[in-house]
Order: sequence, then structure tokens, then C-alpha cells
Amino acid sequence: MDSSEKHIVHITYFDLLLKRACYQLIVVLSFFIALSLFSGDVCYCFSAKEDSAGYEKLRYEMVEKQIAARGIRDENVLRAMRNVPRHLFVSERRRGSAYGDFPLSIGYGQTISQPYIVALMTELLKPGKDHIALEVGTGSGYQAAVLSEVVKEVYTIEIIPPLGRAAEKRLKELAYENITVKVGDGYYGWEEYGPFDCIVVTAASDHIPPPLIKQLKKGGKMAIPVGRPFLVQHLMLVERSEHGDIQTRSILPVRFVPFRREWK
Amino acid sequence: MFPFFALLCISSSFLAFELLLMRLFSIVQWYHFAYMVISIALLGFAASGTLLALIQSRGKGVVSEAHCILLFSLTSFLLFLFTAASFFVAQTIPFSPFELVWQKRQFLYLAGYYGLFFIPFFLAGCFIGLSFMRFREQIGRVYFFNLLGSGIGVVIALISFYVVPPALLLIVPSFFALLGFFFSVPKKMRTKRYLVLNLVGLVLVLTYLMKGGITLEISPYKGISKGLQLPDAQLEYEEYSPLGLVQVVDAPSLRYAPGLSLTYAQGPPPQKELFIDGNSYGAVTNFKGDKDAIAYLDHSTFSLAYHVISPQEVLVLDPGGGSQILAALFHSADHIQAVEPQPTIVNLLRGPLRSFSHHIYDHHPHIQVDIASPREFIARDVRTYDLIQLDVIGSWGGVGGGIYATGENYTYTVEAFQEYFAHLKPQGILSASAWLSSPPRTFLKLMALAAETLDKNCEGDIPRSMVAIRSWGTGTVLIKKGEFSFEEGVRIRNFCKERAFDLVFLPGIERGDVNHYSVLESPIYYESVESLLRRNTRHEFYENYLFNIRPPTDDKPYFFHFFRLSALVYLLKTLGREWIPFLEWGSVILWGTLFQALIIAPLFIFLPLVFIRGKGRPFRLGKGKIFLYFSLLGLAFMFVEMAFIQKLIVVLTHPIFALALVLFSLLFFSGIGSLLSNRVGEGRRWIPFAGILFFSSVSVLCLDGLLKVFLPYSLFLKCLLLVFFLAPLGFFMGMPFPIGLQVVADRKRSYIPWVWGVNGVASVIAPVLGSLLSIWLGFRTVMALSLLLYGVAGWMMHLISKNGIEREMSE
Repeated sequence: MDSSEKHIVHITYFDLLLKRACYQLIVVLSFFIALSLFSGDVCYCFSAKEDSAGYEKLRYEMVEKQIAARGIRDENVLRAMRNVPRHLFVSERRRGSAYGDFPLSIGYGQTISQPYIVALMTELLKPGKDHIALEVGTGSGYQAAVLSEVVKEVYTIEIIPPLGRAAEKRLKELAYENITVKVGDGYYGWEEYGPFDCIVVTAASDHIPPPLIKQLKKGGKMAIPVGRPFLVQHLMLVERSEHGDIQTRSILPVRFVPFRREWK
Repeated sequence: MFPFFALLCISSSFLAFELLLMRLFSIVQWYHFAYMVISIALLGFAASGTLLALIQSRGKGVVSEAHCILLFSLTSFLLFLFTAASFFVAQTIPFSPFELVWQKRQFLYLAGYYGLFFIPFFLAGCFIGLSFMRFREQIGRVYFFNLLGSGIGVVIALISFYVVPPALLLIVPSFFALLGFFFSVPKKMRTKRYLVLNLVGLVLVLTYLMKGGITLEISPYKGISKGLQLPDAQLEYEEYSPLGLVQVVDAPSLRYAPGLSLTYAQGPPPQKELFIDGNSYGAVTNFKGDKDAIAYLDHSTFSLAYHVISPQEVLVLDPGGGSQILAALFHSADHIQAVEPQPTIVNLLRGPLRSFSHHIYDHHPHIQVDIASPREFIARDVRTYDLIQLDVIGSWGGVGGGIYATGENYTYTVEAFQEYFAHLKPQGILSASAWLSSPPRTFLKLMALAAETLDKNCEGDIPRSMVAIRSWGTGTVLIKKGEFSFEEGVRIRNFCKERAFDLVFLPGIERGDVNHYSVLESPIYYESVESLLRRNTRHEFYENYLFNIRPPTDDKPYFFHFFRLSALVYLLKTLGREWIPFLEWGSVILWGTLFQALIIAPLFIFLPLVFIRGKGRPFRLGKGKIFLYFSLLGLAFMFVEMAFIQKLIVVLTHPIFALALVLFSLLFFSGIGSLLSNRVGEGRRWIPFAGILFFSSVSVLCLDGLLKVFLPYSLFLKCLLLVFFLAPLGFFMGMPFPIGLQVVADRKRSYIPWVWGVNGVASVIAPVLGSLLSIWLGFRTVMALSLLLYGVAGWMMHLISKNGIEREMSE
């Protein structure tokens, strides 16, 4: 075979292989695209076929298996968790997983906390029917909705405008009349409606904003979930005594002890 | 020479691609997830052995020149396309690593990532493996060009980090792959179609450049994404270097005051937040010379030292945005020495943020700044200080989910603290702070570190030289060169009372003094420090604590590694799924990567064997020894690399410089060793192994001493000296692989693809295994293990050679 013959063989192989490679590549890529689309569809199908009664059943199960089973005893909190339709606070494609024992993404790098954490935070605040609550970091509006079931009024502030507007619209549609949403910087609290009996700060960075401490009523409580992203490691509970003194407690959502000796 | 140039270009492209990909992933996601994705995708290298075995079997053991050229050009052109395309497509996959635990869909996305990055590694593996098959008579030469190319790839990546914007980075390996394609076809075979393809490639490169590259889709869970979505947020400044992408965000609602006392009624003045690779690096405070505006800094635990003594000479290590410097200014320190490892931050504060920060780094009468790592600075500094101040370590919220558990930190090791302590004046104080974690571990480890430092240096009564306090969020420990006096104790108590901080330890403290403001179920910090301060109870405490709070050393510099393997059973038994929020992601990823690699790897070890057929048995001793030989070489080579990289981090300031220097030196000199490997006769095959063992032992014995000598020199001189130091070891390390491969090629060439696959598998498993071993056993053990592995590999070579000779004699 002289060089020109080699040349021809080369071109033929080249074309053939190129075509085959392209073909196989398209097949592989299509497979991946189909799989990812399919996985999305599966979730959507599950969510679509559930009617509201179905969700209610899931919600009751959630309260029983995830919340009451972990030691939440406040009947008002349990009732609130049974009442608030959590699936309506997440995007449609995530509705099927709304009652799972985990947090969910709501976009903008924000999450809707695990149901148990929401219940625990609410219980820690020891809410009363005549209480006024402030929430900093509305997110989806779910925590505000749960709080609104156990207190008189809830004021909630969200700094990310699209999230705040969506939460406001959602809460209005769900007829939560005792919740007021504001889009703005929650660092300064909401002096106009303060002081508050309970405050939830879901968006604290590296310090607890001094204006919020100021707006906490004597005998009031403030809860701050700590840990990110998605997972809460502990809850910071700030309490103002009847004398005005401030005390904090770190609450672990799980029973971890002992740390020493006995575990071995 | 044409295919060798092509090989050089492809090897450069491959290594540069790997490093640049890691960099890009660090920006858009988290480094450790990138590590897992790239490690698994690297199995593409191993898989190439399978394809080559298949091609070889189709060609009945012979791959013609035309076939080879066709495959060379095809793989290089596809590599050109896939280097940039794989990352571009990957960005469209909504992979969210933190959701892996409960969202099964995320596994599919992860598989998509693996699949996408598998392709370029597979293509590069095919090209290099094919080169060994095609030029089996010149294996030393092929390996030389492969290693040289890889070494050049490292340099190219390092230069690119400086001069190419992140969005355009992947154009670099793409271009080298295109060059590889150009050289892959000999002149006589360069057809019109081939030229058109080259032209198309160039047009694609140009379009990519003109388009400004790939838009980086940064994870919405990273600090920079959250900062930028705040109202009126602006990205004010951006600069890239090998040390990271530095960004400055200005937003009215950004406020940074770590662990501010709950009794303080005001917040900080306007600030701009600094980000490195999307993670917060502190904030620059708008200081106009008015001390009242920065009074908030006096309401954090880290200011305690200023209420105990009135320091005139203050050393601030890792000041970030400069909070600790402002705290020193607030307390009227006369001379403040700042040590900042990030040159970009210093340039920023001297340039665009000069007036905003009250020119703290620009000819300030009280402040001097050095660009260096704390360890590098302290080793060459001869002055002593009244106060050495370390910033708050960790973060609020469980140290970033444990993602940095496997990251080295040489600022917080026993050796580092001893050096800091040695730089204190009599009655001087070393102050270190940490974010508190629940369950307690971060601050406990810091206190253990302080106690051990005192143990080794303090002449007096140890409990009289240490003080620890905590707030709701942070803890600060002070150790003194001397004893804390009664008056100082009173001042400490007052400082805490005014700010609602809790005492943890103080000379003369009683149980009733603790746990008043931030109430814990039991005063665990107070109880622990009692055990930590006494040598006879300290080790028992480490052993019995649920988390690893043993102070880090230079040999195991993992401050954030708290997970104990021995506690695993207890945690799983008692907590089950509840343990998930406390998972240490860094460790999970390493174990996960090893686990996945061990499951997939056997496929690429055994599959090629299915396609390899031939007459007769190649070796009387079977494939086992060959397999062992190449696996051991792969593991040992990587272990040596890793051990040296770790050793050089302190002296070269940043891990990336250590990585570049070690990789380049070892690869380059290994290349030369490989080129000369054919001169090693059959009876002298022990020489490279003896050389490796000798030079490794020498370096283990001399390196620490030499590094101390090198430390004060300029970076360039240090690099030059270290390259020469690594040269002989690298030279010998380059020989065993080509010698072994030549033995295989001479006796049964159809096994080359299989050996290539085995090498690929070993190079995936080695770094992961090496990291795990270094975390649990330390780098010294990893280095010792590499010597042992080389020793066993040398013995294997001896057995293989002996068998060969016996076979020839019997024939």
C-alpha cells in the first residue's frame, strides 16, 4: 500500500468513525436528558395525583411520625402543624415531597425548614393566643402561617423582594388575615408594631441584631435556627426575663448526650 | 517527532484541564464536591485501557499506523470539544450536593456530572495509552513526553490562574488539545478535511473568546450569591489569581460583627463584604478615624486581651477585612503588625478601598502589613509582641457543615502555637477565638491547643496562665507568658459581666462562677478545661470524648476534623438519620469517593482481560505480580507527591504553589528519568528503587531542617532550591513505570492496555486513600508507606525479572 492508498483508507475510517462517534454520543446524551426529564416527571406525577384529602392524610402522618414522636407536646403547635397546608408553600414540582422529613429548597438559596424544626421552634417560643410575633426572613411564609395559628398577629419581613412578594400573595390567597408581610431589611425589626412576645430570626448572619433584642418584650422569647445550608444543627433561644435580663440557651434538636465516657 | 509533540500537548491539556476544573468548581460549588466528581471521572483514564484492549483485539493484536493516526486525531479533536463543553453542559444540571441525603434525583444529577467529565478524561487516557501501544519500542520516550507534558500542564494552569479570567479558563486546555490534534497527523496525511477541522477548531476558540467564555453559575447557597441578591447590592470589585477569585460586595444591609454582645445596643458602621471563591472572608469597615463608630468591636469576646493588658506591640495574624486591626487601633496600640496571606486583599485596601478603610494598609503611622502566611512570617520574624491576636476561626452554623473537615490548616497546630508563644514578650498574651459549635467541639479543640502549648512552654503553673470566656456565639482563650494576676482576674470578670459573657476558666474560678448568661445543660466547657489543663487527665479526655478534639499538629493539620471512626457505631445506633445535620461532609466525601472508586475500578481492571487473547502464557508467575507492581507504583508515586505537597505548604505560603512546584518538579525529572530508563540493564533494575529509597530517606531526614533554612528566602529562590532538592528523587521515580511497561511490551504487548488501565485505577484510588491515611495517621506515615510500597514494587520487579530469565533459560 503506497502513501496515497493509506491516505484513502485513513479518510474512509475517519468519516466512518466520526459518524459513529457522533451517533453514539447523541444516543448517550439523549439517554441522560430523558432520564433527568423523567425523574422530574415522576415527582410531578406523584404530586399531581394527590388531592387535598391526600395531602391532609400526609400532613396528619407527618405530625404523628415526625413531630409528636420526637417529643413535641404543645397541642396548639400540633394542631397548627396539622392545619397549615405545607405543600402550598413549595413549588408545584416539589409538592410530592412537601411532607417529607427534610427541608426543601424554595429558590434564591433559601429553604423551607424540616417540619420538626418548625414545630420545635414554635413550641420553644411558648406562644399564647394574645401574643404578637415578629419573623425576620419570611421565606416561603410557612413558619409565619404556623405561628399565625397560635398567636394573635404575625409581622414578617423578607429582604429578597421576589420571595417576599410571593409569600405575601400566597398568604393572602390562603386567607391568613393576621399575617402582615413587609419587603425590607429585617435588621431593624418592626418598631411600629413592637415590642413582640416572640421573634423568629431565620436570616441571622453572624450576630443577633441589637434592634431585635430591643423589640423583645419582657418575658418574651426569640428563636434562631443555626446551621447551614439546609440543616439546622441547633436552635438559639434568647429569653428576656421579667426584669429585663437577657439569657440565651442552645437547644439541640436531637438527643445527643452523653458526649463523654458512656458512649464508648 | 509529530506524535510525540501531540502527546506533549495532550498531556499538558489533560493536566491543565484537571487543575482548572478544580479551580472552577471551587468557585461555583465547593472544592470537596469537585474533588469527588473529578476523582470518579478520572476513572475515564482507567476505562481507556478497556477500549484500547478492544481495539487491539479487533485488530488481532496489531493496530496499523493508519488506525493509530485516525485514533490519535479523533481522540484529540473530541478532547478539544469536550474540555470546555463538559463544564458548559454540567452547569445546566441542577445538582445540589447538600440535598443528596434525601433527594434521590440528586444521584442522577451526580451521575450526569460523572458522565460528562468522564468523557474528556477517557479521551486523554485513550490518546496516551495508545501512544504506549503504538511506540512500544520506545516506552521510555513516550513516558518522557507524557510526563514533560503533564509538568508543562501544571505550569500552564498556574499561569492561567493569573492571566485568564475564570470564565475563559477552559479555553486553555481546549487550545492545547487542538494543538495536539494538529500534531497528531503527519504532514503527508494532512488532508483538506483535516485542515478544515483545524480551522473549525480555531473558529470555535475565537468565538468562545469573543463571547467572553462560560457564564459561571455559582451555587445559590454560597455567600456571594446571597450577598448579591440583597437590595441595592453591587459587585464593586473582582480580581482573580491562583489564590482564588476575590470579590467585594457593597450592600446597605450587609453587617459583620461576629458574636456581638447582646447587651450592646448598636450595630456596626457601613461595611463591604469580601469573598474568596464565593465564601465570606470578612468585611471591610468604613472607618473615618472616629473611635466611637468602631466601639462595637469592643463588645466581642476577642477584645478581652485589651482589658487585661495595654499592649503596645500587637501582631494580628490573618486579619481578613481588618476587624482585629481596628480593634487594636480602638485600644490605642502603638505598633500593629498585620500578616495577611492574600496579596489581593492588601492591594484592595491600598487601592480602591483605601479611603473607605481609613488607609489602614497604606502608610498608616501605627500599622505595618506583611504579605505572608502566619507560619512563614513567624518563622522569619525576630521581634516579640505584647499581644498576638488570631481572628475568630470557624463560622456560625456548624463550621460550614463540616465541608472543610479535610482541609489543612497550618495556622492552628501545636507547632504553630509554640512559635507564636515564643514571639511573646514577658507577660505577653496569645489570644485565639473560635465560633462555638453545638455539641461543643471547635472551642474545646482550641482550648486543648492552648493547654498543650502552655504545657510545652510554660515554666510556671499552667492553670495560672490560661483564661477562657465565651459568649452566645464565640469563645476566646488567652494564654500568657507569665501568670494572670488577681487584678487582671477582676478586670476579666468585669469585662464579662458588662457584656453578658460567661467565664469558662480563670485562675481561682469556682463552679458557681460559670454558665450564667448563655446557659448550657451542664457547664461542659468549664468541666472539660479542668481535664484539659492536667497532663494526666488530658489524654484520657481526648480518648473519651465523642468528637476528635485532639490538637492538630503539622503532621495532621486538620483543625476542623472532629469525626471519630470509633464513634461511628454509637452515632448510627443512637441517632440514625438524626445524625445527618452533624455529618462532616469533608470526611463523608472522601470515604464516599473511595467507596465508589473501589466499586467501579474492578470493572476496568477485569474488563480489558476479556478482550486480551493470545497464544501462550505471558509470565509463568501470572498477572498477579504485574498487577501488584503497577498498582504499587501508582499508589507510591501519588503518596510521595502528596507528602511533599503537604511539607511545602508552610514554606511556600499557599497549597496551590506547593502543589504546582511538587507536581512540576517530580513530573519533569521523572520524565528525564524515564527517558534514560532504557539504559538500565536487566540486571540493574534494582537501581531506581534503591535511588528512590535513598533519596526519600534523605529528604525525610533533612527536609524539616532545610525548610527552616529556606524559609526567609524569596519565593523564587525557595522554589529554585526546592526544585533542585526534588530533582534526584523525581529522576529515579520516573524509571520504574517505563521499565515495567517495557518488560510487558517485550514479552506480551497485548497486555499494555490492561497495564494502562491498572495504572489509571491506582492513580484514582491513591490520592483519596492518601488523604484518608494522612487524616488518620499523619503525613509521616503516608511517606513511610510510600517507601514501603516502592520497596515491595522493587521486589516484585526482581521476581518478574527472575521469572523472565528462568523462562528464557528453560526455552
